[in-house]
Formats: sequence, C-alpha cells, structure tokens
Amino acid sequence: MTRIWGALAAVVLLAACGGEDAAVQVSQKNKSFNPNQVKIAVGETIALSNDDKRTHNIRVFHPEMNFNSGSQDPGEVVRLTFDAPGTYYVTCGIHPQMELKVTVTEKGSPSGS
Amino acid sequence: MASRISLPARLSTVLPILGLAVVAAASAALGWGLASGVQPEPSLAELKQRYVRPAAPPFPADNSYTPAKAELGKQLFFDPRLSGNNDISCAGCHNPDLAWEDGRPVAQSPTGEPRRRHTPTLWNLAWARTFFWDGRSPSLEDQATRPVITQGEMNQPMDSLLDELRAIPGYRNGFADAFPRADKPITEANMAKAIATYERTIVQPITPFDAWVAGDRDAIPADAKRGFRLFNGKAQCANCHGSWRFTRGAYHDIGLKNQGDLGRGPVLDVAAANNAFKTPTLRDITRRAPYMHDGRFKTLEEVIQHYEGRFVRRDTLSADMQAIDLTPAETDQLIAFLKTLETPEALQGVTRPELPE
Ligand SMILES: [Cu+2]
Repeated sequence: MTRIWGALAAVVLLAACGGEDAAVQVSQKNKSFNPNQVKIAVGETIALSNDDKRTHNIRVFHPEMNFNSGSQDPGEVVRLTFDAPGTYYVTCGIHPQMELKVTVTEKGSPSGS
Repeated sequence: MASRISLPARLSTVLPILGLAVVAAASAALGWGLASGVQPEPSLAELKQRYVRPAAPPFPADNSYTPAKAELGKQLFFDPRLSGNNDISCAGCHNPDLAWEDGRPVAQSPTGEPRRRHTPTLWNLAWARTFFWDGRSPSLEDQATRPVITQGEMNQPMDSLLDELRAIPGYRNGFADAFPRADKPITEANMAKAIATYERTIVQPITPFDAWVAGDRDAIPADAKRGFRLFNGKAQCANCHGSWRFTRGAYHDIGLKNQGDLGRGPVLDVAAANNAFKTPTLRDITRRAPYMHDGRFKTLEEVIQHYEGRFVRRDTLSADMQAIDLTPAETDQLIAFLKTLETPEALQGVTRPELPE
C-alpha cells in the first residue's frame, strides 16, 4: 500500500501572507495552476496559493508520495516538499482537470528554478 | 502515466484574456467603460474556438490501441456472460441506442431494484480523468470491471468469470490476439484493458453543432445560435460545461436537495466537496432524460428552472452557482442549442459484435 505522506511532506496550511521564503510560488485561479509546470530539486518547496474564489483540494498520487491537503479554502497556501526525484502531477480532487507538472531533480543538479 | 491532451485547458486560460483585450478595445472605441463590472462577451469566433473537437482519442502508454484489443473489448462489453446469471451485459445499462444510458431515473439491478444513481453516458470518456458520479475511480481500466463484480449490478465473482472465459475457445483466441506477449492472457487486468480500449473508441459522431463550429454556417438554426450565446453568457452554463466535451470534469454542489447521497465529499474525505457530483457532458442530452445524478428532473425545462434559483443555498454550494434569469424565449433558444448536440439519427447505435463461442 502507498504511504500517506500527509505528516511527512512538510505541508502547512496558513493564511496567505506572502513574505518569507524561497519556495517556488504557484497560484491557483479560475480552476487552473499558474504556472502549470515547475522544476525543482529534492528538498525544495512549492507554495500553492489558492487565489481563487473556490475551495480546492491538492492531491498527489505517486509511488513516492500520496498526499491529500484536505480542503484548501480561498486564501490558503499549501506547501509541498518532494523527497525523491521524478515527475509528479499535482491535481485537485474537486477540479481534476487542474494539473501541475512537477519535475524534481537530484539535489545539486541544475533545477532551473 | 496516461498521455493527456492539455491544449483545451491552456486555451481556456488564454482565450478569455484575448477576448477581454479585444472587447475592451472595441468598447473603448465605442465609448463604453468596463467599470460596470459586467463581463464583456468574447466574439463568436473566439467562443467557437473553445469547442473545437480533437482529432482522435488519446490512449495511455501502458494500454495502447490495437484493433484486436478494441474488438475483444467490444465483445466483452456486449456479452451477458460477464454477469452472474449470464443475463446482462455492460450494454444492458449503457445502451448505445439510448446514447449509452438506460432511459431510467436511476439504474436498475438485474432483479429490478432501483440503484442509487442515474446511469451515465459513455461518450468521450477517453478524455476523462475520473469515473463514476463521485469520481472514485481514477481510470477506465480501474472502472471497467467494478460493475461486473458488484452485487446489484452484474454480480459475478471475478474468479468464476475468468474460468468461464477460459472455457470459451473464441475468447482464448481473442485474448491471445489482443495480448500476444502474455503466457496466460485471460486475466482481470487484460479484460479491463480490453474493455477500456473499446470504451475509448466510443466517441460521439459529428453533431450539427460540431459541423457549425467547423465552419458550416447553416448546420444549426438561428435560435440555436442565440442559445449558444446564452450558454456562454447570460445562462452561465459554460462555467462548468464549457469545453468541446461539454464538461470540465469538475465536481460541483449545484444545490439539489440532498436525498442521502453526499457524492464527492466522502471519496476525497473533504467536507467542502459534500453534495458535489461530477459535471456530466451535455452531448446527446436531449436523448438522455431524465436528468441529474439521480434522475430527479424529467425535462430540460425543469433543469433550467432549477438554475433559475430553485436551488438550496448551503456552505457546500459551488461558487459557480448563481441564479440565472431567462425569458421563456431564451429558455427555448437554450434548449434549441442543446438539441444541436444530438447524434444524427443515421449515426445512432452501433452494430452488435458476434459473441465468441
Ligand atoms: Cu480545485
């Protein structure tokens, strides 16, 4: 069975306040991700911010990661950190056509982000 | 990972911006402001562009198309031996003569008891990402065998079905042709792959609407053209149904009085998705009454009245739900438009396959 990574994936729900970090920023608006693909290195973080007027539900199904954000209300940020290289698809459980392609490279390799 | 056509999604984000720019320029020239907050309407050409059909269905890399696989899948789909009593096939509920539905409010078990939800059409599922009204299945391969083993549906344990198929020489040959590299080709996974392959070929034929989008100006009547405008504008249908498949595949609570079915919420374990069901396609909708996930409305007029404000306001109500207000003439135009999504009579139904002996 796949592991549930909810606790491990260093995911925090917090009110959007911009500020802080070096996380790669992805916006959710009008039922789509913008940008809809990103490249990061192992250990780096993506901050998905719900700039939409509707609730989303961030999901990742992957042999290395099984993640469910629960309900992500407008204004909330979901942070995802990837622990293994590979190609991941982040989708929304409520709007499955939403898709963010995440290419995760080995640490130290040129990630392009 | 299944190959996916992502063009429509990208187009839908780009086009409104283009449309806005064009209309903004036009209205500036005419001296109108955009400050009123009313969304400017894109041009007809831009609207039509959002509804262009893709050329061919996609198949996933791990279950590519072969004619042998599709043919085997078709035989399995139409074969009542897949059910416990050998009396009902997939087509027993997904009847190609009824736009792949059964004409009932909710599905019926082989012994006549009503099931919970309306039988959904199979049109254009090659492009879908989640299956069943609540989306609990992530692929056609996963979905295909579930009704077979479900009590109250086809009710046949998988092991006994596989034994039954292995005893039929025609199926031994059919599976060997479809899966030439397998030592023992008659397996649950291969059965699912074959049925899924056949289902991906179930693409709606060109409708009058498609012909109009492709450039035939006379393919649909004038009131239907006005209905198309309403669909994308005042009636707000396109918020959720606006794509060539006439669904964006999302889950919405449209404010139907709950009758004990919470839909997507329990599947996701997300309370905000309670009362939400998958947006159904509108292709062939005039052949698919009664309507909604539980068949509660008999006519499209009733459906439109629902959207005119007869819905339940609650926390889970979709942000895309706002009461619409159509005149009787506009309702007629909208329905005239929906009628143009109908499969031409000469192209309805399919030839039944010869079943293996
Ligand atoms: Cu969403």
